[in-house]
Amino acid sequence: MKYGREKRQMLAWLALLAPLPLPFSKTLEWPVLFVYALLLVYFLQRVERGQTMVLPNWGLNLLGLIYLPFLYVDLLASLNRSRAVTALLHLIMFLIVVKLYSLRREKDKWHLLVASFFLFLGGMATSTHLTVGFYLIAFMVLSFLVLARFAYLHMLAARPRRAAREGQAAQWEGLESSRAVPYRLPLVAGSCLIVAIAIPTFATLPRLREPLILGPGTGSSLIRTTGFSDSVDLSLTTAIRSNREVVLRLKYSDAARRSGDDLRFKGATYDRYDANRWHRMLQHSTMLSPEIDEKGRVYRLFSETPVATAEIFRARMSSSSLMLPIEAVSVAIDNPSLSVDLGGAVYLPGMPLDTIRYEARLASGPRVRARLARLDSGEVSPLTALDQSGVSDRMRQLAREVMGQGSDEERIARLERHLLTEFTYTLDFVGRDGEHPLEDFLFVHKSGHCEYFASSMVLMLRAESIPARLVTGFMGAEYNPLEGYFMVRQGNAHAWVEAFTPGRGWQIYDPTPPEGRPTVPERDLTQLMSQLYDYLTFRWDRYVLTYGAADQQDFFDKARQRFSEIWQALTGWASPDEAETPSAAQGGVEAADDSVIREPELWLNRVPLALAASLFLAVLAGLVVWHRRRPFSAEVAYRQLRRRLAGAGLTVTDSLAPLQVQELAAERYPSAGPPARKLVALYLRESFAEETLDAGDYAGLKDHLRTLGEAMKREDRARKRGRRRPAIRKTG
Amino acid sequence: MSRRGKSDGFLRLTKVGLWFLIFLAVVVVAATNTGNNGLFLVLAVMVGALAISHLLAAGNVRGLALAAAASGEVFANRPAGLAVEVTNRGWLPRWLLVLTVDPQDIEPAGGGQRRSSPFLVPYLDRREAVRENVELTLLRRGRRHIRRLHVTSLFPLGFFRRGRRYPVDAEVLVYPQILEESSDAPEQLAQAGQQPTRRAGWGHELFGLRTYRHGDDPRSIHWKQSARTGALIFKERETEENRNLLIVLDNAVGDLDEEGAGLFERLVSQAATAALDYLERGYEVALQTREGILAHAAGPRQRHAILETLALIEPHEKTAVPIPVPGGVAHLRLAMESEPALGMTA
Repeated sequence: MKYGREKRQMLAWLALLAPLPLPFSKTLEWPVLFVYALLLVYFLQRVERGQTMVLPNWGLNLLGLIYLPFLYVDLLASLNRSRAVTALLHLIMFLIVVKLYSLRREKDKWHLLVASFFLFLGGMATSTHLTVGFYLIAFMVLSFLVLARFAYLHMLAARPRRAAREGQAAQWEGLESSRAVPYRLPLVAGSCLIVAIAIPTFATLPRLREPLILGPGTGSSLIRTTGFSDSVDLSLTTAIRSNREVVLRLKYSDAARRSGDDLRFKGATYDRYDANRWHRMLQHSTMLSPEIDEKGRVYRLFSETPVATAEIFRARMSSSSLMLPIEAVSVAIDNPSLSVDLGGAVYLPGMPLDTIRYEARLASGPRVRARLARLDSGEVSPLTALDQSGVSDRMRQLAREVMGQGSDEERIARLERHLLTEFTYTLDFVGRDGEHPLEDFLFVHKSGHCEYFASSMVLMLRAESIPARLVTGFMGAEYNPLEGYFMVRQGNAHAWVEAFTPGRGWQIYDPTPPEGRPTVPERDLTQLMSQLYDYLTFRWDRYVLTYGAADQQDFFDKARQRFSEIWQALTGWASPDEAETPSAAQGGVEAADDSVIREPELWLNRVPLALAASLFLAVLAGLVVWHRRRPFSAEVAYRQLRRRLAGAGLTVTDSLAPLQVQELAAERYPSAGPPARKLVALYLRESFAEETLDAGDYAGLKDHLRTLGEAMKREDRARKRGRRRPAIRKTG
Repeated sequence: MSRRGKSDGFLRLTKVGLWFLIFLAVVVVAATNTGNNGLFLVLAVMVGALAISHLLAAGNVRGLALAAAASGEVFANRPAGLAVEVTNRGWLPRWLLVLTVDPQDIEPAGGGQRRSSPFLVPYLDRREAVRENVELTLLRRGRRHIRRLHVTSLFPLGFFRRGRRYPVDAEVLVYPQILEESSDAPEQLAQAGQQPTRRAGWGHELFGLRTYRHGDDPRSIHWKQSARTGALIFKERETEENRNLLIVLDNAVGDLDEEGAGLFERLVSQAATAALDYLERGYEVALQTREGILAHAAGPRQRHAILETLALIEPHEKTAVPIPVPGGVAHLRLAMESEPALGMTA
């Protein structure tokens, strides 16, 4: 194969890059990738050394035969795990390695490119993490380079046979020896343009099926969530308070009027406390019947008219709970069924496999949809909010003392105040392993986290025959001005109490001291970076991984609307879309008052635009600078030589003639003498003999500079070592 | 695979491009069937690459200015150089340009020209110009007009061979084909004469020194005198009697069929071969055809005059009267009906 070395190197690099995301998505095993990479690196080393021994045909056949039983076993194992693609990937990787070591004919290189492309496809199809975008760009740039160089080498290989006879030999030889064809501009500009075309193409390519997401990518992987399962112990808060993973993203229609600190989202309710664990009574749940409106299925929790909406994106969690703001009166979700537990928490029939999107319609204040079995059936059930399990005598006595006499509301408020003021919040539970953690909390340590506070209050209320439940969910949300949504992190998990009084019905109480409640951190650089990352992750999940036909429709609608606006601005004619009112577009929900927008947020909402504009300007400026750069010439190389010598501590004055410079270099660095002389000779030819250097000369200049630099470093190192070595004393 | 429009541009899909399209189709099917957005991303990038490849390729062969002229003598059926100057008038550099001459662009058509060997310009900076020879083989003698030059490129990714034809309108006079077979006639002629005549010519005796004129044989420059005087001094030699030859080419052949035309072309080639052969050996050569006579002379001018006459000679109306040859002249008679005959008239 002609120009074999360069082709081998490029192909090996491409093959090395191709499978990188596969182990992250668990499609490929790490050891397999490690062995594969090792073989490729060894191959690259051999090519670098100029060792071009090619695997013979009999070797190829033998390897193929040896691999056959492996393939059979691999296929069986992969099919057992329902991951046949893994065996296929192993086969492709085997083929790549074998083919690389036996590259002989021109068409072999295309086989390798195709195999690498299929690995790349596998990586793209099974990866979901945001960084796969960078992988895509890296592979695209490298492929661009490989194809461009192949095109160039192909043209060189097609040199005419008679060229040598007719004097074109020098020209062709010069081209072969030179790598000086400057490809940076087409590479950079071409890649940027490809991305620029790919983005709208991706948005408009017709989607006939729902988006399919394969493989657990780390970015959108399942978030292990505690606190919403069928039963929970009291350690949930300790485990997750420091977790920064985003579980919910919410876009309120009236975001400007909301404060992140006050937002509360209900996840699950618990009725029975037994053996230091809370249990959920899902067998008493009610299945909700959907109504159909213009947004699809709507599940109504209350008959009240909503005043605002919240578009919610719930990340993949190990829970079926549908987190809803406590103000929710109905929920629009494309799901065939929803259930609601005794405490009014809504949950899905199964655990969703990816990010789900739904819309909560909100009332002006908290609404609790809870049932009380005692009131319905007339008898106290051990499964309901009056269950006395876990209530000890000491607790009963404390409740009586603290709550005193009066109305239920007053007594509950007293208990809440007592817990708020007499107890402290802590996450330090070292050394606490008693059999009755709640009693220890109330009578020994007097400190704990939200679950201890809420659980104690629930049990003490029940001791005083006031129906109560433990509620888990999230409290507080961080506003991300880059996207204009609130983010709820795992660390915002919280527990509180819902208690029933005949006068006011179910009310929310939170006995956890304010310092222990999840809060929204102050804005700083770390938070900004975190928000930026989340913004990108959200965008990736929302507009890449889960982008589907509905989004396309939305995209076209927005484009049409934007076009109408521009058209209107240009012509002054109102388009028919103008007549459409916002309230009509929101399906009957009252329009949000968008006039109240906080100034910093207005500014921050422009950040992505400003970033994009800055990036564009930076690229433009870079291109201008690149274009105006001084072209590489012998003079430039000579100036570099002078700078290097000066940098090495030699006195290189302006008046030092070129021949003196070369002698200076040779004197200080004897091994750098020859390249310095050659470089200076080329400089003299170009500058004083007014000769035009050819491509081979330019390539030579770069080689001389490199050799010179290496020689200088080598000698400097040797000199340093010589200084360190102790002098040998002669004795006798 | 090829598209030709009103413009001078053309586009051909290469094998690499074809395979790329096939893989694109595979990814389309996979992405549409699965709904996997990772595959849609790959598909979008592939579409982008295809579009950019097309656009960059189109821009790469535009905005050039080409000029061409024959460099040196051009003989039929022998590779010759066509000096081509390519100037990049665009504001971006150009990459991987290949220059060729297509037989279709050489007039008059039907000359049986071969496609020229490609000439590669790997990189042409903006506003830069390069001048190189494109190797070209023209099969028939005569005046040829090269109307256009082809610039093609595989840039950037080798999916398309994008090309453009640029008008150059270069005229090339193609001399007759020079035959390989050697002539033993000079030896026969050498037995005659060769007496100095005190006329400047191509003999062995020195006739005199004069300043060098354009067209003189550089081999006769008197270098020592030139060094002394500072100007190029030319050594003139005396001409010798009988060191001359008249080539009589009887072109009264009438209308010819294909075979006859081939024979006539061979006759012209024989005349050209003989003329060059004798001129090389220092003879004064004259050429007589039905159209007229080129008087005896030597040197590059005579060489050019004879070759030009032979390059443009056409068959003449057939006649039975042979071309008369003056007395005492060594001549080589070339006619269709007879073998080449070397002789001396009385």
